[in-house]
Amino acid sequence: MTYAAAPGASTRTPEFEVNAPVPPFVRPAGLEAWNRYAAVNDEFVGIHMDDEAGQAAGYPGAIGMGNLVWGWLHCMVEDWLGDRGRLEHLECRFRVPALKGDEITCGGVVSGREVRADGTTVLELDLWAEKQTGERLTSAKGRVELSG
Amino acid sequence: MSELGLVRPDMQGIVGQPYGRQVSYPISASDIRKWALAVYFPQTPPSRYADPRAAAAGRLVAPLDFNPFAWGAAEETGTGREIEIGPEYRSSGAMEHYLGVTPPELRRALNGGVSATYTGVPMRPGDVITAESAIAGYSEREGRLGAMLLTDIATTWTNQDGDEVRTRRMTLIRY
Repeated sequence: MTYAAAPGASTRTPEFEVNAPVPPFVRPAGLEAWNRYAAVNDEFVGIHMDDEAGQAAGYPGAIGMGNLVWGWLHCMVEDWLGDRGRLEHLECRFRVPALKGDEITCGGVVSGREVRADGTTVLELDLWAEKQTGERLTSAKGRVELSG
Repeated sequence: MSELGLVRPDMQGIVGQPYGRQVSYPISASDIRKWALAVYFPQTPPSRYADPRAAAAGRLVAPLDFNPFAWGAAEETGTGREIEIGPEYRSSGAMEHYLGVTPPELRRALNGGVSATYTGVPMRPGDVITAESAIAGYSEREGRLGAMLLTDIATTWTNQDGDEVRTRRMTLIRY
């Protein structure tokens, strides 16, 4: 006799249960990172390159790119999933920018889990990026589709 | 005119109208590697991006946030309604002029937020991506930086086979 596996059974690992953490992704903010990102995304904008431009815009100095934080959130989720699933949706609002010398930690937690009618297991994620002080740069929501 | 006076009737009139179509240059393995090197800095990107055997075996896939339009497009199709604007508007990300409308008098801009939905269709070396964008809506609010105009921009990417790769919505804050 054979038994059909319960929907989503092959994805039942503690890593993918509700309240499980997404391993953090930590990166330093500053011109070394911003210049590299500007070079690939053609984002040579004054406020990201020049303290005076940042100050003229109301900040203590040059500020980091929201797009780079967006990229780091992707790195965190994709490195965690590997070939076990794929990121289906991500959304975030930028609250405050990174400043030179900040250490930015992207983190997250599995906030929901459901099995769709087609048997696919989907996880909802609460994600964020914060400074070493705990101040949040962004809060984000993600949705991943697990393989198998 | 809106309450704060930032959204003019002619701006409201272009909401939902496509303002640009771009076709990328073919994505190269080098583009993908450089992107991964920049985003993962100061650490080395995962081997799935850096290992030359991955590219040779056809396993190299671009990161989801990869932008094949960063350094220009191979082809751009206008609306036929473009008007000239000064360079100060371009640095604020203005797009209204593509539809014949003068951009608002706001010279500074921030990225307010992003939302993207990925279809599971990957971007690989050799792929050519077509992007089509439209203003999805305007709103305004008072913030720490004064009166701010929020512009939601919706962009859809499809590949050379007509398969949708992703939809993206970005909120541009101008002030």
